[in-house]
Amino acid sequence: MEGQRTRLGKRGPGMVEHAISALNGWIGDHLSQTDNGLEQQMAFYQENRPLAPEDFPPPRTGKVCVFVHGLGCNESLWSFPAPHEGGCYGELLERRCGYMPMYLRFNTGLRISNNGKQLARLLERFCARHEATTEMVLIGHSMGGLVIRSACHLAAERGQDWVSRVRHIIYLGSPHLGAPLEKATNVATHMLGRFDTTATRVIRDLLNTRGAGVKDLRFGNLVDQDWLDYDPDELMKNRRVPIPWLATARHHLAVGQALAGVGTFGDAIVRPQSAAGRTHGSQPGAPDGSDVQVMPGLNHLTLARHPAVYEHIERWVTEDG
Amino acid sequence: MDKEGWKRLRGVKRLIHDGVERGANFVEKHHRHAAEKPFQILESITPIAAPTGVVHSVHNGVLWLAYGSIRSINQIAEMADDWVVNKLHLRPSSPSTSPPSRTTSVSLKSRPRDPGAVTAEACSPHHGR
Repeated sequence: MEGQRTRLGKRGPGMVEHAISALNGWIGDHLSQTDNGLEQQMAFYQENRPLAPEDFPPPRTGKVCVFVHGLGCNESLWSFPAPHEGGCYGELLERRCGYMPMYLRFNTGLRISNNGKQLARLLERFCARHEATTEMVLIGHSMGGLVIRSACHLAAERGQDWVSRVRHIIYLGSPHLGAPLEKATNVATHMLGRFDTTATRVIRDLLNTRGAGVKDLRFGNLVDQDWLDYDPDELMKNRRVPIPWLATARHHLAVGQALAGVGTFGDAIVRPQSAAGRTHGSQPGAPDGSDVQVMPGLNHLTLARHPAVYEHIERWVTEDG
Repeated sequence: MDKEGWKRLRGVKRLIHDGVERGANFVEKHHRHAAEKPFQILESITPIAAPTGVVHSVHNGVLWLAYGSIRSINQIAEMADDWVVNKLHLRPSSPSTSPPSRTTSVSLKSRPRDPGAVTAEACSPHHGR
């Protein structure tokens, strides 16, 4: 189709965008509260420009895939680094499976539930404009996977139409049960607070400036009830409300194993049990073992841009025919 | 410079001023905390409690003055560079000449939205609500 502008684009984000994305990850909630022009407002991006959902061309095959990046990143996360060829998962899915890729960029310092609400609204707008969309695949890396779960849960609760078109949701190293680094930071700040010295208090206060989105990663908060009316810096209190997995979609989880053969280390950022969404076995629709793919030798970031992961993504999205 | 560039320039400018203000508050808080202990000890010694109390009050006054001055100068500097940026933004040679309606105010909460925040807003989920 003429004018089909679906690629990540050669003119991708530069150093300035990377710096802004990292800044949003750390103090994105402050940027939002102060209406700062550096806030990375949620939008689909193409060629480093925001594109309204209504401005996308209609998907030729009726199939779209939405990519949601992780903390402190932007859509350039998905580009394969040299020497790998093929561009990125989105380009390969478009070329080989007919999916129109859409790349999200958002303020990762905001609450995951707030980003989930925004994503749900964006996808609702897209589907309202492009009613011929029959199938959606959502792919999230790290925090992006949690944003997707949050968006799907809210949309299902509100009866939004787009969520019924979601066939597959793919989580790449998403910390469904929390991230150890954030937990360690939470414990460390409390330990520092026990020493009544200026140096420890300064370090504690500086560490506590991290964004609300980062703090959500402690236990993988998905909805407002997980954090509303609670102190965001309280010591290791898991207040998560169990959220069912979207029943109408297949869930697939990629688990990195940075040190091949050393499973407990995970992808160096997220532990394997967390990335596989385990322990909450009672949750309806929870993915079973067959939906979990361990990727030996791949670290957290590599999960978002490696041909070996793509092979599994293609298998997952095509296995239903 | 395009709209996005102006928006970012204003964002960086505001971030710097926010940083100075919050940094001054942060350092003042810890400065006070660091100074409090020796004063408490000295004030517990009865013979020197009274003169220490005076020194303590003077110290707190100087702290308030010093950090207050930093905050005031920061606010004046923000007004000045707001004026400069607005002038530059309104220059006829500038490719994007939508007049900025923003005025500087002291409170962070009362600050109006950046005039350049148009492109992303149009694509944001709040658009059209």
